Amino acid sequence: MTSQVLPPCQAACPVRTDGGRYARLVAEGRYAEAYEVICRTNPFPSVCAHICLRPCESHCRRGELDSSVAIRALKRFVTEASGAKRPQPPDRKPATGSRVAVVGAGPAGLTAARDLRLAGHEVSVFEHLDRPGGMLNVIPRYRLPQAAVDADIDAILAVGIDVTYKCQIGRDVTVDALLEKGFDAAIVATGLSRSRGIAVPGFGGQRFTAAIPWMTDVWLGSKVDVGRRVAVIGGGNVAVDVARTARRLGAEFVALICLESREEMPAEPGELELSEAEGIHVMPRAALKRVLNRDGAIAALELMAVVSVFDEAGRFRPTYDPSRIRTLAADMAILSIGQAPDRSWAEGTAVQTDERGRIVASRDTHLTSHPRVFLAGESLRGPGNAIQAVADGHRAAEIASRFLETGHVSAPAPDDVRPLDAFPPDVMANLRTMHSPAREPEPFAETEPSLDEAEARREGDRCLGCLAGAVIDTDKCASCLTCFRVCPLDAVEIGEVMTANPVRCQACGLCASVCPAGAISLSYWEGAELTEALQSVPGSATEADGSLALVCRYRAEGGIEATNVLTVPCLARLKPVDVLRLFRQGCRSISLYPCAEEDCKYGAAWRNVQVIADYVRNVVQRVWPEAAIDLYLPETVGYPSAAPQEDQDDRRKAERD
Amino acid sequence: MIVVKQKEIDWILDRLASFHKVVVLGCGECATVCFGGGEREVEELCCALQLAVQEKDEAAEFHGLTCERVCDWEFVEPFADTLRDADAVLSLACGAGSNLLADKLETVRVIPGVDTIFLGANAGPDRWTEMCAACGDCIIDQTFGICPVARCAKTLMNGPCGGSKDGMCEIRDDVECAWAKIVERARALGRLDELERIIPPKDWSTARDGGQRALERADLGIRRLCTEDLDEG
Amino acid sequence: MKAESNLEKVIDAGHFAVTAELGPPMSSAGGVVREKADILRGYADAVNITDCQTAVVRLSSIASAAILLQEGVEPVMQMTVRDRNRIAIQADILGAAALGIKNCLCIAGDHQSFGAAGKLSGHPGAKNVYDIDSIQLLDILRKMRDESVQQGGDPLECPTPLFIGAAWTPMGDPVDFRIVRLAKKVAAGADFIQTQGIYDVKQFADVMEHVRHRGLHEKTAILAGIIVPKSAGMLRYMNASVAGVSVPDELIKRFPKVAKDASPEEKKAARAKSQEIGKQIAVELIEQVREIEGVRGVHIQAIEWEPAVPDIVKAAALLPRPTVAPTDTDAPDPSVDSAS
Repeated sequence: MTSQVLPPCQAACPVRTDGGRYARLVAEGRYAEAYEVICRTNPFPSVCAHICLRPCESHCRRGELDSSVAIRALKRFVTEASGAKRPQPPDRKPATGSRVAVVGAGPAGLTAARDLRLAGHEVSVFEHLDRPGGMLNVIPRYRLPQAAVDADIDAILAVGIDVTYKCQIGRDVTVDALLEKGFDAAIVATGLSRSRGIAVPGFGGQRFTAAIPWMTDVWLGSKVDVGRRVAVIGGGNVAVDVARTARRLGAEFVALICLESREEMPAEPGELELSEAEGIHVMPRAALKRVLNRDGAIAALELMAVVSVFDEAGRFRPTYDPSRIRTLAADMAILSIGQAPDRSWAEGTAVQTDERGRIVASRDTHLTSHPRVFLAGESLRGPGNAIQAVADGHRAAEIASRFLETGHVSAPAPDDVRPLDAFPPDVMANLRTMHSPAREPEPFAETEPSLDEAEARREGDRCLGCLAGAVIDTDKCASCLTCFRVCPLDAVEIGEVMTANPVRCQACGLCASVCPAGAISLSYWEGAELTEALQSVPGSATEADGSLALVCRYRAEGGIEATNVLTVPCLARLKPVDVLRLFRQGCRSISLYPCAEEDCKYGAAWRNVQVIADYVRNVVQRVWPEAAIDLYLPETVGYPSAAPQEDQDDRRKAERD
Repeated sequence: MIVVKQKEIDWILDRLASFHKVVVLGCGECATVCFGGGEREVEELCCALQLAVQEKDEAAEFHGLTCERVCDWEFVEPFADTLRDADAVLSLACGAGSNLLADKLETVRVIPGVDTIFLGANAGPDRWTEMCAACGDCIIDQTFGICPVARCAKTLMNGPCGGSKDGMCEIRDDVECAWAKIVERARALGRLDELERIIPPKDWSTARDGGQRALERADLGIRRLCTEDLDEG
Repeated sequence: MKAESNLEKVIDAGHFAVTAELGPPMSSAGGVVREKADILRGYADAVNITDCQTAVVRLSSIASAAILLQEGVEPVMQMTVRDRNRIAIQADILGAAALGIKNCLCIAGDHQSFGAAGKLSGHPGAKNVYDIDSIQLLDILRKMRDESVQQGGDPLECPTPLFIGAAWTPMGDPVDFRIVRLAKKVAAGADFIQTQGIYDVKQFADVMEHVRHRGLHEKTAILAGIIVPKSAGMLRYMNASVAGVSVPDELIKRFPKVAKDASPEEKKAARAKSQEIGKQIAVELIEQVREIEGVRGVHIQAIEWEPAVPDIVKAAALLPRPTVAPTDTDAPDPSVDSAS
């Protein structure tokens, strides 16, 4: 079976979000459509817009050129600043008569609940806290605003999901009971609620606490207890969140102590710098040897040097040098060394645990030893992030829904997906020439800055359009070689007919506009859409003066004075016949406004637009001398003005007078 | 299409006698369609040439290659190394392709393996006839679609000469008289009156007589974006 | 008067014109031309000299014409478009006029593949010119004469006096188009026409009716072509192979049949008889075409048999040939009686 090739961003995303597509839609100002693309596979767009670990960006091919497209920031723009409304969910399928119980209102559970409800099943969610969100509640609000969490969860629940809060499974209700009560299946998505401990001498005194419970108290507002000198033990994102939270709460001294070296620390790059900027002391390569208590409370921590953390095979096997000791005064220690699932709910039920106490469940089918109980999220897979939880929720729902319909439990077919190959070196070289100078990486700020509309459009424009490129219709191709000669990236392969190599093609569309056989279309941007848009012009353009401005959709600035304006995603994609048709439809004067060279997505596409304008003018003026078509370049510093001659004359005259 | 006809094998053998490593190059378009120099002919000819030299116990090598189209260098370029490595290239492409090949290969001898005989069309089974002389100033609107330059032996412009007999040309009894056809077509359309008009002397400067012709289409502006400056093109 | 050539004057005066044809030698021997001129002098109003007929190299028509002038015989120069481009043609015309040649017959010329119908090698590999066709040539000559202008518009310092002729194949294929062809030649500038050989007079008469219907017979002087047959074989060959020539069976049958195994004397006698019959036929044809309204003369072609012409002209009661006073546009000379 041949694998499906996807753009790397999409291949890397656990829910296969088409990041490039929505980035390009933003670039064109089509925000509602962008929002729709985002929501296709992700019911937590607002949450992810803030905290997703963005594997898409790590694989973004633009990153090979300068820096990856800020896909997450664009998501945030769409969901918060674009003005577009959240799209309606798809229509619910007809009621199936089945009922599903979902335990845990975290991202995995809520995703599964939504999917099942839309599939027509009745869904009830049981949540042990007094509010939904699960681990989302424990993420500091400076990272994940409450409004974002609320927006996503409100929309999810609105599809018709009933939630019971303060209901702890195992204690307040058992899975067996739920299934006897009329639920046909149960999905347990309770996550990793237990904090890992550490067996060191002195452990267990006052103010020796764990990250999740401590953060829960802080962020859910019940109790805030912070020391003067707080030691946070751990090197991951949660540890950093804890440290930064402690600092915000007023701790004078906060240390982040971890086994790993700076480079090995699992926290997201940039987190350390952010932490240090806030005055947190990062102490890598240090292990907790023992806790020194005084009067039952923590007084200091004894730390020993770490020699190595991972062995040659990459396994976690820390080695220490106990002779190198340092003592750190601290009055609070917060352990953030990982989470584990709470399995107590399985006791006394048909859900079995293994000899190590882990719940027996198939990672493939999510099914536990109980024929109607499934797991989802971190409780099945171990530690993961939000988008992984969403993905797992989708999967569990699919399996459960199929089970409810057919009585069979089966895993979905393996998702055979391959990311698009990396750029060949020569394409890279040409891309550098083509694209605007690399954006300077954003300096670190307290939080990721939000993009305004102009910035968002420019950022979306940086998407190179992987797999959105040219498709050559072999029936029409005449092998004239024109596409080959025009392509700036050598993406056209010569054969009996031409083919566009998707690894190289970046959808600039220039080939499509020059092809004499009309054989080329862009798989993302359909030229037919433009032709239709242009054909719809008549009414407006033929009013009054018959003038029409065609503006490159990627242009961020305004300043175009025209009664009738039509935006086109890259004017260089216009076919001369498209413009000729505008004259046929009644336009008398057409003005073209491409981007300035330094703003241009392709570096100098205005030259191609110039060719199109001259070509069309030559054809039209032979048969209709009064028709006019002119190109206007924006006035940018140092850029030669291409304003029409009369304007220049007027200007000179004004200067003289 | 451009119609080509393979040269006699004796002529080819004679011209290739001094070369030991020969690439026989075919063309995938016109030459293929009229069975003059496509892949089939390349293979057949390589076989025949190899047999011929076998008989003479010579150590010549014939390597066959066919490109999509020889008159666009991009199709030939992938084979450039092989071609430059040869002593000679026997080109079965039409004159246009063979000329371009020689221009690009420079030091490699290009020997034509076909005669380029005319611009023509398929005229029935196993038959092609000349239809156009590429005179550069087409007047077939006045002659009802029949070219008097290509299809009249005397390029007459104003009606058949006295040698036209039973619709055939005086030069051979299997050659149609173009003007007989033109008159017939005019008559069928009821437009014989149009042939009363005297067509004036032709401006041959647009034909081969005016020297090597070229077509410049600066209005197309086909350039590799950003790597070739249109202004300097 | 366009050129004041003898032929022009004879036609203009209303006489039945007679032209004959002279074939130049395949050498530079001008003497042959002079000898043939001698034979024909007084028996025709003007004499055509063919121009590399059947694409065979012979002493050029223009040079032969100059020789004829020296011999006191009025020439009709023939100009094909096969061998010269418009530059050479116009230059040669200027030269011809400068030499005193006043009649020029414009023809396309047999294709170079002919080579004397296979009897000679000829020059089938020559590049044929056909820069212009015969009709365009007529137009060019007319403008050289009437407007003092070259093709393309450059001026000539003075007019080029010419009496312009064209060939015409009245029964050529496609027959109905031949009238249009004639009309075009007349419109282009043909002052006189010499037709392809006529044998089927009835057919020719039918065509002439169409000619008269369009009034062409008044705009140009049509001289019927009379090719003197030498033998049945020649007639059969022409009937089968020469475009536009059809020979009624009765004519062919008039020739004596000779057995293949006949003796040389018998064959010689038969040849002599055939020649007599041939000349007889020519005379009859002349008499018949003379009856047709619109036929203003005959063009007698005795191929490589110039001596036959005097006999034929005499027997057809076409002697003496008229002498017309120069530039007298009043009544024709009463001393001339075309029927005598």
